[in-house]
Amino acid sequence: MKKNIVRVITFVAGLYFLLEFMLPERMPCWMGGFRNPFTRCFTEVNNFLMVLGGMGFLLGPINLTHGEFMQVVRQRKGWGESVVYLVALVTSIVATVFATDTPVGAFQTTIKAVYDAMFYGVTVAFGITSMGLVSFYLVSAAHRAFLLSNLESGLMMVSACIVMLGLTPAGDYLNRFLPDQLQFGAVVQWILGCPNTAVQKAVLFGACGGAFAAAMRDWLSLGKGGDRP
Amino acid sequence: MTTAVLRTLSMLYHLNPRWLYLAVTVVLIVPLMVTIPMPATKDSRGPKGVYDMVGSCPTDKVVLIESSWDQGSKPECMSQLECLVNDLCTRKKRFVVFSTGVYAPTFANEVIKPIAQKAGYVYGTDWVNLGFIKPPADNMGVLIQSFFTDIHATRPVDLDGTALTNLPLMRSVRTSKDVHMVFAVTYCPWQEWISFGKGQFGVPVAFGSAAIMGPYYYVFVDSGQLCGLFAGNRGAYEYESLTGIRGMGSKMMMAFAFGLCFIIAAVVLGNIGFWASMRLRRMQ
Repeated sequence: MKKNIVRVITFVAGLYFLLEFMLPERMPCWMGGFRNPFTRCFTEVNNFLMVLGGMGFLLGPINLTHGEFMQVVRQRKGWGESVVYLVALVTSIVATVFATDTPVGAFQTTIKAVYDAMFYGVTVAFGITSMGLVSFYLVSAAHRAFLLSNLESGLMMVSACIVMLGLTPAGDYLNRFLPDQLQFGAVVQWILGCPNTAVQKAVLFGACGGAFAAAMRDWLSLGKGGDRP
Repeated sequence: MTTAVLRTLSMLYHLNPRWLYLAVTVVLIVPLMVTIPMPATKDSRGPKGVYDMVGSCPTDKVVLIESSWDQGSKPECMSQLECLVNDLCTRKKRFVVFSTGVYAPTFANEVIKPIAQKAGYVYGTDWVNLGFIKPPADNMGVLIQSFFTDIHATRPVDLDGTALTNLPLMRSVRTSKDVHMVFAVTYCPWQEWISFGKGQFGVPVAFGSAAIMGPYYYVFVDSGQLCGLFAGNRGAYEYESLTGIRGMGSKMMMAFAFGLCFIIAAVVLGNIGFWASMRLRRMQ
């Protein structure tokens, strides 16, 4: 019974969005010329979805906090890290709720300083550092793994170097010595516009076909987990 | 070639990666500290498309910016947003900003506020920041449909909690008909802008993405589904060349260019070293 209720709700919800999208804004005269009835309540339906999404949004943090809290209570291995997480969570929530752009008084100034330390000093710094590390690995990979071992890798290497040169002012300097057809800009545009477009379209066709199949399975509750109540 | 030379060259392949890391640090930092003159670049279709579309924005419409980048994509996306806002303020075009990333509104405000202040733009009259809007169940298509059908119902207040009806600009901005173009700037903009924003509502869409995502989005520029594209700092740099307002894009472009040249050098050195070690092994 439960499964069937979930199946019906999934199907009706999917059908609503499909019909809203597929039907024209206004029907032709021979069909009565009335407006798409599904569009009328579209905003309310979307707001309902946003509320549902908001509820789901909290599930992750709640589960994580519960897990970390139990880790500390039971003194399991690595409970020190869980303490750091819990302290950071509470501090961030308090600082975010009470921080203002224009602090007045000692309390608000302190809260603003804590907020800045947590956001700019920790969150932003960690994010930038982890992304910055990619550049080091990129150079290391270019040096160790990008090897001219056969024709395919050679083609890839040459095209990658041309595209990279074409994207830099160094390519513009070198262009002075090349005829118009061989200028880096033109070659880069050709590489991105022809072979790249062909490959990307092929990948997209495959991905869209897969996404369509997955969507149909979800909509009709044919997937293994699709009918889970 | 003698064994000694081959042995020396093969050391290039077995180089300790720490030396490479040190070199790349120097190569990326120096251009940010020293201004090096660069040749004027040729304008590619991506930035030119955005420039022309911004220029054709009528006075009764706004440019909608989805700025969802945060600390991770700051080095590339910040310059893109900066050059666009600079141009909008110079050409007196009104704009509305919103984000689908939690941290993004803070970063967007940090870029926009000083430029708007300098240009004499009044918040609420010339520009508005709607803040963070979460796509329902991470489905951007649904958010775009809802947003373009009724902006006020989807997001009744701005970032500071002021009702949209109290903001003079937003009184005349309600549906997709009031939006001239969309500019989505983040590491990897939502592709739903193409299918829903451009496809369903007919609003021209342009993207600002990380350079690594450029090849993926160039396809849509060729097909005309994107009216323009900024791929990494190169996009911002070219846009700055078009507007004549030099900013972060030109500075970051230098570091980007040096970084790319260093990668090419690393590829060449690695291959020479690899070839030498192979030759040496065969000789032995």
